Amino acid sequence: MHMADALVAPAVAGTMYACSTAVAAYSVRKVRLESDPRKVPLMGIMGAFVFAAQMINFTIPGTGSSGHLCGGMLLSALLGPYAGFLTMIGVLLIQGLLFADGGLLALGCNVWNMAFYGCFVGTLLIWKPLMKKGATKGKIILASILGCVLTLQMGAFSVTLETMASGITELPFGVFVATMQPIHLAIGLVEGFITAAVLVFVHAARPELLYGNEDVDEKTGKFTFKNTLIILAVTALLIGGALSLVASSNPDGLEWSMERVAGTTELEAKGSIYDKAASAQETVAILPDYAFKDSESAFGTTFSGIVGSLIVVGVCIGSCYIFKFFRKNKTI
Amino acid sequence: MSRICIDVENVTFGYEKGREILKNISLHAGEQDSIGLVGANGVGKSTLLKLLVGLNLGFTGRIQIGEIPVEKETLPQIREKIGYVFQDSDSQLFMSTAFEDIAFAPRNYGLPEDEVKRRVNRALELVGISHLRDKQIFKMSGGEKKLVSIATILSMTPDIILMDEPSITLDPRNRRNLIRILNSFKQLKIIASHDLDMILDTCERTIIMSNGEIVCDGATKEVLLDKELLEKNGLELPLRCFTRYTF
Amino acid sequence: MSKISNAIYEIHHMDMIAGRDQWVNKIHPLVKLILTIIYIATVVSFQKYDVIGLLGMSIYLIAGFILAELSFKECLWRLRVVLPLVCMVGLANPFFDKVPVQLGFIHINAGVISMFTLMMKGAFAVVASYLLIATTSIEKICYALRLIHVPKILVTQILLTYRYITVLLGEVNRITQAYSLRAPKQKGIHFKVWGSLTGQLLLRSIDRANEVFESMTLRGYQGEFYYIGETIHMRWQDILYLAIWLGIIFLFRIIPVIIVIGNLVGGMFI
Repeated sequence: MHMADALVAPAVAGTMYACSTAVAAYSVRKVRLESDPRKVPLMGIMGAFVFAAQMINFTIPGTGSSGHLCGGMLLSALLGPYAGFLTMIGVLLIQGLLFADGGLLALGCNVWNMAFYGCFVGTLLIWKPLMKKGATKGKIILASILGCVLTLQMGAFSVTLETMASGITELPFGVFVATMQPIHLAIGLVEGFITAAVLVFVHAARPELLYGNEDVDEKTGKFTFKNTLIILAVTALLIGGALSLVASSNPDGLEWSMERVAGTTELEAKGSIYDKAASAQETVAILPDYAFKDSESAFGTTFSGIVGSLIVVGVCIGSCYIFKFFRKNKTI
Repeated sequence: MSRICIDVENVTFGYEKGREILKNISLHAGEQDSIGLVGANGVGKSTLLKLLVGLNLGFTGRIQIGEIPVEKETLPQIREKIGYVFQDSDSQLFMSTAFEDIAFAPRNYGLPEDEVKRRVNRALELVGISHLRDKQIFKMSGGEKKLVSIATILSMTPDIILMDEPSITLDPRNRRNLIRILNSFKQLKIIASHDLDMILDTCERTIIMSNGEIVCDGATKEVLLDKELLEKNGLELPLRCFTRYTF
Repeated sequence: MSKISNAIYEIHHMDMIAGRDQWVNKIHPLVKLILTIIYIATVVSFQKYDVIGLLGMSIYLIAGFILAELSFKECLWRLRVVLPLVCMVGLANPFFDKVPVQLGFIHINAGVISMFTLMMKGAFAVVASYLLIATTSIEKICYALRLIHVPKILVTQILLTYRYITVLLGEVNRITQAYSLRAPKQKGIHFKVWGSLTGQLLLRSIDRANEVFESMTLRGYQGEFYYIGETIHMRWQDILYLAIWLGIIFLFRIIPVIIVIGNLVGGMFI
C-alpha cells in the first residue's frame, strides 16, 4: 500500500504532508509529556523490529501464498499510539529512501494512510476500549483483526481518494474502489491474524508490555464515546476539506475525476466521455500547445521533439564530462 | 570522588521475593585492584556488577562507591566515575559511528565540544583504534565493536571499570589485544568472565562465586590453580594448565 | 529467505556508496534534500500528456549519474518495487481514455500517452530518490532534517532504527534459516508458529532495547540527545549548485526546451 511519488499531485502531497505533520507534532508533544526516557531506545529498536518482521514470510494455511506484516497496529499495541506513530514515520522514511518502497513526496500520504489509521484509529478506537478491563486472549484476537481490517480499509480508501484527487488515472472511481477494497480486506485479515498471534504470545509471556493493559492513567484522560466521535469527525473534515481545497485549485485533475465519479455511481466502467470529432487539429490540441516553426502537423512536433531531445541530452552529457575533466585538473 | 574503592556489605538481592540471586555478599575493592569475578553460569556475576552501578536498587545491605552510597539520588554521581562494558556490544553501541558513540558520554556531561573531541581521540588512541573513528558501527566486526565499547567508557575517564564477559566473542588475536589493553589500565577493574586464562593474565585477585555467594576471594595465582576448589564450584583449571598428557 | 540477506547487502552497499569521497557526496545535505523534493514535485506536476516536457527533466538524472559516478544498472533494480504498482494504475488509461491522437503515422489512444507519462514520472521520482540516498548518508540526511527543525525525537528514531535494522535483520535471518533447516518443505513460516517465532523475536528486541537504555543511562543519558553529527558548513559551491539546478528545473518546467531547440535546429533544415 505504499504510494509512489508518481501517484500524487504536488498539491495532494502537500496537503497530506500538512495533515501528517500536524499529527506528528501533536505526538511529539504527547511523548515528551510522558517524559519516559526509556521510550526512546524502545521506539528505535521496535522500528527496526517492524522492518525485520516485514521480511518474514507468513505462510497462509490452505493457500500457497504468504502474508506480511505492516506493523502499525502491532507497534502501537506495544508502544501506545503516539510513540507508535513516530516510530512508523521513521520506518516509512527509511523504507522509502533505502528500498524505494514509497516515495519521498508521497511520504505524507503514506504516513497518513498507514501510520495514522493504524496507530490512532486502530489503537485508540478499537484496541484501547477493548482492553480497558484487562486484556484476554479473545479480546486481543478480536481487537487485532478488527483493528487491522479497519485500518487497511481506511488506508486503501485514502489511497484511492488521493490518487483520484491527483488526476493521475483514468480509472473511474467506482472501479478503483471495487478493486482496492476487497484486496485490502484480504490483506487486512491476514495482517490481523499475524498481529493477533504475536500479541497473544506477548500477553502470555509478558502481559505488562501491552498498551492499555496497565491501569488507566488519569493524566491522559478517559476515552469517551464523545471523544471518539470528535476524532472521527475531525478526521473526516480534515480529509474532506483538504481535498476540496485541492480540487478547487486544480481544476484539471480533480474535475476530470469528479466527472467520472458522477458518471459512475452504478459501479459501471464507462469509457471516455469526450465526444469530440477527432480531426488532426483537435487531437493536437490535446497535446500541450507548442508553437512550431513551419508545419502545423503532429509530425513537426515529433521531429522537433527528437532533435531537441538529442541536442539537450547531448549538451547535458557533454557539459558533465567537461566539468568533471576540469575538476580533475584542478585537484592535481 | 575522593577515595576510589568499592564496599559491598551483606548485600542480598533477588528480582522476585523469595528467589534470591545474591546472598549476603561482602567484598572490598581498593584503588588499582584488578579483580576477576568467576563462577558457573547463573551464579550472579552480572547481577552483582549491575548492582554496583545501580541498575537495580532493590537490594538489602550496603553498597558504597568511594564515600557515596548507591541510592537513587546518587546514581548520576556514581555513574560518572564508573565505566560499564556490556557483554553484548550491540547493546553498548547505539549511535551511528564510533565517534558519536564515544562522544556520547562526555557530551551528556556537558563538556564543550573541543574537550569532547579531545577525549574521543584520546580514548581511541588508548585502545589503538584511531582508524575506526568515523567507521559505522553496524559495519564493524565483533572484535572492532568490543574495542569501541571499551573506548566509549574511557572517554568518561572513569576511576572504576566493570566488564561483563569481555572476551567471549573475540577471536584469538583480538583477545590478545584485549588482554594487552586491560593490562595498560591503571583503574580499579572488576571483570566477570568464563575465560579463566584471560583472568590469569589480567587480574591479580579473583573472586569465585557459587549459588549467589562468594566462595573464595584471594590472589589469582592461588585461586585459579586450585583444581579442587574450582571443580567444586562448577569450574575447571585454566586451559593452559592442561598438558597433552592429561586427556 | 535470501530476501533478507539481500536487504542487508543493499543497506551496506548504499551506505558504502554514500560514504565515498566524491564531489557530489560533499555537497551540503540540505541542498540535496531540497533539490530532490523540488525535482520530484516538479516532475509530478507535469500535465498528463506532456511526454516531451517530462523527457526534458531527465537531464537532472543523467547529470546526477555522471557527476556522482554512479551505476545506472544498480538503480534499475530499485525500480522493480515501484513500476509494477504504477503500471497497474497506468494500464487502465488506454482503456478508459480513448481520445485518438495521431503521432506521425501512428494512431493511438491519448490514454497510452498518459500511461507513458505516468510510468516516466514513477521512474524519474524513484531515480531522483536513489540519487539522493546514493550521495547522502542517512546520518547526513538526518542532519539536514534537524536543520529544518524536524523534532529531535523523530530524528533520533530514524537514526536508532537505522542503526539496529541490520542487527535485527541478522537475527530474523538466523531464525528463519534455522527454521527452514528443520522444516524443509515449507517456504515460509507455518501458521502454528506465527505467534511464537515472531513473538520471541519481539521479546528479545524489547530486552535489547532495555539493555540499550541501561547503556545510555550509564553514560549520562537523561532524555536529551545533545546533537547529532558535526556541523556541516554551507559553502558558496553548495548555494551555487542549488541555484543552478533550481534554475534549470524551473526553466524546463515552464518552457519545452527540447521543442524550442528542436525547432531552432530543425528550422534551419526545413
